[in-house]
Amino acid sequence: MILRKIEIENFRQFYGKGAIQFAQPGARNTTVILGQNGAGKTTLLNAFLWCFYDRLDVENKHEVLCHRAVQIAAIGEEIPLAVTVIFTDHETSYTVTRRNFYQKLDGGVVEEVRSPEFRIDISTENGETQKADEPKTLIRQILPEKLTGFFFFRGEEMETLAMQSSGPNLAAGVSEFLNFTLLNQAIKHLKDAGKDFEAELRKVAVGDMKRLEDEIKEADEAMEALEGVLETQQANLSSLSRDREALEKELAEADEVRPYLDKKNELRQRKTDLQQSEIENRRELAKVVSRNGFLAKGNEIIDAFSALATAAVKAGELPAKIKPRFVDDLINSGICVCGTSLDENAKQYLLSWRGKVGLAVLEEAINLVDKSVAGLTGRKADFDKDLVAARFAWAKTQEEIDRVTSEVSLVDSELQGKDFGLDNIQALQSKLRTVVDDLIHRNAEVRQTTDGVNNWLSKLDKLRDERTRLAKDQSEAQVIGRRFTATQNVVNTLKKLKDDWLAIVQGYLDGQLKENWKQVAQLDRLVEFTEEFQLSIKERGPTGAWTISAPSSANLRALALCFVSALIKLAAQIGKAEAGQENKRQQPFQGGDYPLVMDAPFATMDSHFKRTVPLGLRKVVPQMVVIINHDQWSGEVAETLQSSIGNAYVLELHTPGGEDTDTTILFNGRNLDYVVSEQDANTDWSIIKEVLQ
Amino acid sequence: MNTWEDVQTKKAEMRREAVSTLSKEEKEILVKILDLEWENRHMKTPDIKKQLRTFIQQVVK
Repeated sequence: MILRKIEIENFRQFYGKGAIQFAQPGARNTTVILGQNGAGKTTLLNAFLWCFYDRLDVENKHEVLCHRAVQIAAIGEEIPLAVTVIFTDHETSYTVTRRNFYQKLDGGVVEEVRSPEFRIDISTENGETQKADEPKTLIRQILPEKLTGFFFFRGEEMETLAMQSSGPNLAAGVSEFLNFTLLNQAIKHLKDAGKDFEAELRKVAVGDMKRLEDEIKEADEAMEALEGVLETQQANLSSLSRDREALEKELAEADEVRPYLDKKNELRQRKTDLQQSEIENRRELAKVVSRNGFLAKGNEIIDAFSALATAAVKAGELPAKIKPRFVDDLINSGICVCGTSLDENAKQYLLSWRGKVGLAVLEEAINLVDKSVAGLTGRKADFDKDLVAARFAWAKTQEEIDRVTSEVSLVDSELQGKDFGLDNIQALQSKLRTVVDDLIHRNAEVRQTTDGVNNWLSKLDKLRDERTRLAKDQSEAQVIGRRFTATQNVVNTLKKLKDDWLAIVQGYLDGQLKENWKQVAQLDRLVEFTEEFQLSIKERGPTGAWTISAPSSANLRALALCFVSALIKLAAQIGKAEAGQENKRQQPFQGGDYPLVMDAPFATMDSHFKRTVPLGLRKVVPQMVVIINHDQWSGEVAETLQSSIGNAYVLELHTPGGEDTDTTILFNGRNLDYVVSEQDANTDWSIIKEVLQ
Repeated sequence: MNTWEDVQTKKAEMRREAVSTLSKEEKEILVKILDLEWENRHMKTPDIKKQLRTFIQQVVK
């Protein structure tokens, strides 16, 4: 999706008709839209959302029609409200239009006079145009609604994106990129089919199987209920984590508090590292057990064998006095050891005698086993040693985690108990205390519920295994059981495909993020997109090691922008991969080039970032739209982006008041009206003015 | 850093490995469900359970 043009008519703040042509990919790929606060910068972002999805991310959602347009219209006059967005996607041009029709009535009220219109006209390269049959579906395929937050966003939202608590949102966003909606549907439908097969099994089951089916049904329902509880608990936990981060961010602004938060962040980083080590410890333990775990019961087997062999020796059965080979040689040679020939009778006697020397075979077998047992005894000793070492390492890490957790609590208590003598800090501390207490409680709840779900899951597995065993005696149940197992196996494969693909893409995004950070932010920090789908930023501590600090708002915004740029790269790669498919096995989201449309992105950035971020960004994304007020634009941002501006516009704000409210700005050597006072007006409105193309 | 080519290679390996654990019938079910989902992707709540069940009944006997 590369934006070409947006046309706006009487949409909220914007009075009359206005249009913005967007700069196209290339050296001058940046469109700058300047606007005073209240001139409609956020409204412009919302114009895209309203046009595409009939959605508004504002408080007063019902106010879509421009007040000024209503005020000016005569009684009975029709007032059009429309937004049209024209863009290209995979070499096809799309014109998306949403239009409502109003009429002004007596008393200044308006009513809708016709049904709203939403349409998409598709123009191909050879100039043919056709109307899309299913415009709602089409726009969601080109830009899934959940992804809009990554391409069209406000400055404040960027910081939220970079917070640890946004992990689930980032995971959901990346999943959308990878078209997991389709896979999730597939999993759901397969599970439904599986349930049907289980219901069939209940019908045909008899005896023990009948009892088993009832138990399975009960366990399945209990597990599903618990999964629902877990989902709610996890959402609560995320919400609380967001609250905690917001409070800590506020607190961090106070110099007195910052050292405590820095210490806490350092400890949290240590805890994260330790948790990573714990995962390694567990893997190592699993490796030891999977390699030689069968030897855990080895002592019993070895001892039993030794006892058997010793008993045989004591009984005189071993060693065997005569070996079968010796008898075979005698029969074959036909000559006795004393030199006399063996006649047929003697041979027959020897053959029957040979049958009685079976103990010799046993002896040979025992000798063989003895050698193996000696090997196993050595291996068992190694296994015991490895097992102890792995268990010890794991226990030590757990102990260390507990210690660091206690230290974090200690810093929390210190911070919460300290009297900084400032009311606002005390109020924040008190809120933080409540949130932290609640978090501890909720965390415990989540752990408990997770354990509960896992217990049910393992119980279900056992019950189903038992069912497979019993079904062997009932042919009808056996077939239905196989069908159920097949659906389960496909569900598990789909889940694995999802998890593995997500992990691969997480690694890719982490790499892109680092690369973007180097190119865009140009600051010595370690940025990461972690396996938990969280963005993190570390700086060098006193020892030179990377350590998490309370990042500034500027750092968080820069981090979020670098991540979004990485996502834009991912979308472009998915687009190329899709375009390369001969027999296009299309996905709902086909990727491709996407713009970065930002409202007030550089607001809290310092001089360094104002120079590096805008320039770096415009290099890593194909198209950039910067909606910004003149104060934030002037200076470093303007100097940096000057050479890449393709188009520029001003959202000229008209506001009731005297002439003293008039404001002009200097842009590109021209004086432009920025705020215009209106004597006869009682409401604000804006018009879009082109200043450079 | 992982290039996109690395990503594609890993994806192909991952797919091969995941699908290799499935029986012939299960592979057929996998392909069928993805086809059904794709055909019904426009619908908010597609009702494909019946088709899917019938298919599974046909392939697993």
